[in-house]
Amino acid sequence: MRPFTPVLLLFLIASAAGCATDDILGNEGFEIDCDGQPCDWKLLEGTADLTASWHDGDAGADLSGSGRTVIEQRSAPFTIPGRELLLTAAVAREGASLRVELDWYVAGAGDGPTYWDREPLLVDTRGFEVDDRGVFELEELVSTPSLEVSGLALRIVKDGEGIAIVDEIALGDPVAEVTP
Amino acid sequence: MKKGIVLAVLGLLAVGAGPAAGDEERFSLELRGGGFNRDDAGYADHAAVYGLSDPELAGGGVVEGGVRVLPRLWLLGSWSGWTTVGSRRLSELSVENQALLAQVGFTAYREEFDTNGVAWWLRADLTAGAGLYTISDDLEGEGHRDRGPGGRLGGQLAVGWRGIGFAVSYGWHLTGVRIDDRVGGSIGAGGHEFGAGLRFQY
Repeated sequence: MRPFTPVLLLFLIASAAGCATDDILGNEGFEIDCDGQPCDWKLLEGTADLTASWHDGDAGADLSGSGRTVIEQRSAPFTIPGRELLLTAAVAREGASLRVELDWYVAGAGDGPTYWDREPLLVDTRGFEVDDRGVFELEELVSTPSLEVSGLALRIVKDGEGIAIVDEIALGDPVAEVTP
Repeated sequence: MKKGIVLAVLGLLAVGAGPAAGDEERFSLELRGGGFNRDDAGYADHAAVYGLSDPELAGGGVVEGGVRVLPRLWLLGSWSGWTTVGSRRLSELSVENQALLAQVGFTAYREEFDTNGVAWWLRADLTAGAGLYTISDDLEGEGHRDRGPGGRLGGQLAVGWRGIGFAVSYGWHLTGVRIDDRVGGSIGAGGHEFGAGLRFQY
């Protein structure tokens, strides 16, 4: 057993490094169902169909229509491999404006069963406007305020009238996306 | 009107080509496999953007039987089916299109050879026809379907020995049969068909 210990150690280190590059968000395709609604995603404002995207059989966030609509996912705790992360999504946009907002948190000292119950501290809110039109794969580098952040509230904000469909939203290590 | 012109041209060519050889075959059966490049107006790109593989290219096959009714002139019936399956995690998008066609064929070239005592033949046929086209898709039990008329123009080249041969073919399918996605894209049952397979003739 002893000769295998270094190998086992290396395997564990490699596994841990691999975990760090995983997607920070959950249910990226809106397809995991929690009592008729996609798990992890929450409609904060307006009306949205969270069951269809480019195809009736593909779950996604259809925010089309008039007025303001906001959906949010909270994710924690996690560790990040570096301060720069890559956000990717499949987007259909025509007319309506679309903005991505990211609230970055560090762990709080309160009591409670979940990360959010323990009063995490908001470090910074960052975001960007989605400028492209049509149906496209969004790729945007985002920077975190610190390597210590361990919580995220990601919001997709749609304003105005038109088509805005978002699906396959992922946030992870940009290095893992590089094709050699 | 266009179909009438095509039939008239084929008829004149058949008469002009003169009588076929006495031992020219009267029946044929072709089994071809190959690929189909569907007419796409955004649907395939949208599927790729949303993480599913591009369904513009499909694999499948053709069964085509024919009978010669005049020298060099054939009546053919064919069925072709093409499918694409793409997956993303546990989801699977399938797109299928089929065509059931009646066609007229004209043997543009037919020759028999003898190479060191081995008799073999070579032929080239042009075909044109029309029939019923269908296309459908399915993703997580949700899908669309369309069907309607369409036409095919094509040609094939075959080489063989006695009653068996190898054929390569091309077909251009023209039809308005198509399905639409939710973001303005569509994909049609028309497109370009490429195939290769066995030819049996008697």
